[in-house]
Amino acid sequence: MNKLAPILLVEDDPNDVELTLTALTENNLANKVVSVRDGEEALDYLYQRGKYGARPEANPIVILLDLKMPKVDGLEVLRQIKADEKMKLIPVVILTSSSMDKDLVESYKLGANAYVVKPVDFYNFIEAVKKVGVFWALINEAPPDVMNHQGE
Amino acid sequence: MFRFAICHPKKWLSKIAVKIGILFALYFLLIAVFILIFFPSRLKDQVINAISDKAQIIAGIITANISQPLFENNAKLIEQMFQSTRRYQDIVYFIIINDSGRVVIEFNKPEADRADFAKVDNKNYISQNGMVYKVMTPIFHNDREIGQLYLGVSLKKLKTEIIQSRIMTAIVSFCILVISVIAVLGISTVVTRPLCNIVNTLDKVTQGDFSQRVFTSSQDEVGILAQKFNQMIEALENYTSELKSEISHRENAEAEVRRLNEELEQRVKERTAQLEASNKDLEAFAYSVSHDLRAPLRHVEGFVELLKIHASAGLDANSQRFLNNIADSSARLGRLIDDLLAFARMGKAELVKRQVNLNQLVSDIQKEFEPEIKGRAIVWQIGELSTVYGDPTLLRQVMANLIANAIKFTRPRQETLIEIGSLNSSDNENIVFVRDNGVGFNMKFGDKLFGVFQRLHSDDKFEGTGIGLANVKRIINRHGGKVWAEGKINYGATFFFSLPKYMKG
Repeated sequence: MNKLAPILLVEDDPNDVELTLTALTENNLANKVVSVRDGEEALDYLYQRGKYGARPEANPIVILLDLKMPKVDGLEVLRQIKADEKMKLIPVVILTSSSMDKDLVESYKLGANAYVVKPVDFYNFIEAVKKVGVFWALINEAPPDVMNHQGE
Repeated sequence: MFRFAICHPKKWLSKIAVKIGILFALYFLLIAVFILIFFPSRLKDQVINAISDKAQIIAGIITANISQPLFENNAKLIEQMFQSTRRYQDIVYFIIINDSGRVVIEFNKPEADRADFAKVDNKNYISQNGMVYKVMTPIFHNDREIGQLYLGVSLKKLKTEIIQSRIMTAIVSFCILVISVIAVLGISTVVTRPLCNIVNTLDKVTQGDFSQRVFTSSQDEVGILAQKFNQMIEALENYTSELKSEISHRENAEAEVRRLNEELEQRVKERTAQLEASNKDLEAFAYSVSHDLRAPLRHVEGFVELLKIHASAGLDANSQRFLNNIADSSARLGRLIDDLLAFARMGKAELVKRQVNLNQLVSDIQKEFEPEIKGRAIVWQIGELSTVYGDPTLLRQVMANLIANAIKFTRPRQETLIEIGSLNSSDNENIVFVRDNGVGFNMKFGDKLFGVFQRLHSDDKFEGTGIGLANVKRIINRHGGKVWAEGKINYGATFFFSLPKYMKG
């Protein structure tokens, strides 16, 4: 188990990216955090396409996925990931400001592993992100990295 | 002539013709009987008188002729006379008595029995059985009565004739009677035919055909009746056509009313749909706005905190205060957005209605608030709150809100009194109140209390966004109830709400 696999953050708003990164680094997680700006980039990264054609890292240990994004939005990314035989093994945590029931239901229907609503309060936000990071990166047992092109 | 079939009275005896016929027959019968009895007796008397005269004449002739022979006692001549007299068939009795009372000559047919003769007058006799008429004539010779002659005449022929005439009369009467009755029956059609005409015409009229008129050519009473009927039919025709047009007017009016009603219903439906759509839009708007407002708020808060962490060492007191103000304001903004979101979300949710025990609800809420009211002197007076019919979650929000307000606005008091009870419930609704002895409010602003984000106190005295009571009002209204409040500055406030007891409809 490669515990140094990166955390993939899919988030379009740069402020949110900064705040989330700050929260994650606050916890001194050893994992590298890769952030992509929209759904298309996320898929490119996962499938090692485009500018991520030769990414060195292993597949992410968890994907933190925002829902409201331009071009390919979060649910579509989720659908594609969970439709791929190998990709669907990667845990996906929806990290969004939407508390709408229909987003919640749809996400779980498509196979999301968790759904976290970003708290407005900064300290709560830090706390939530920390817990998510610690849980998925350290406590949770990730599935074996079958897509690792570096091989076992 | 005998067209009875069309307006035949059911009972044969009821027919006019039959009635008249029977009356006529009786009348005629009476006359016939009268004739049968009266006339033959008159006839009889007349005939008897004629016979009497005839007998007397014959007797006179005989006495005149037999006078001399009797005086001379000429038996041969008397015998001759006797024989010639015998030739009269009618004479059934012949006796001559001389002055000494001796029967000179006698002739007696069997029917002329001597014994039962009654005197008719001083010279004439009639037999008991009425068959013989006897006359007595004295015989004179030279003005001296020398004997009597008794002559008896048979009345048999008379009797037979009388019987015959009676029979004749009866037969003739009967024939006349029959002919008359038939004639009467036939003639009465003079009356019944026009009446039948009227009846048949009226039949058609009662079916609704007012164009019919009775045909009448006579000027008699029946003819006048027919005319009057025609007038009546005309009047009826006019009347019904007036009624019909009146009815069709009314029907038109009714149809118009119905149409207008339907239009109204349709309009109401449309308006309601419009209102509902607009409501939904508003709710969706409130929802999405509050969502979209959250993200930038999060960023503001986040970066302010980061700033405080990274830079507060290098900031002077004022700058730090500014930063704190920013942080506080954005926190408040966050609460406002959360409340607004909850408010909008509540409007969309389905009500799940059940019987809710309010006392149970209140005691649950009291437990929840225990940590918050630790150390305070609060006296709770909770009365009998009956069960109401509504959504338990939402009703919980209502009670929690009102109790929270009571707790909040009584903070300045040494001893807090919170009273919860019910009053004056009608048959189908409950009224519940929450009363406190807190700071109260000016009733002039009573209706502003329940507005969204409306507050009657500033935030530094009592925190809050002003959405709590708006929520309460909304929830209670959705249950079909009403909210209102009473209060006085520094004398506390009472909040009332009404809820239906049972399922609506």
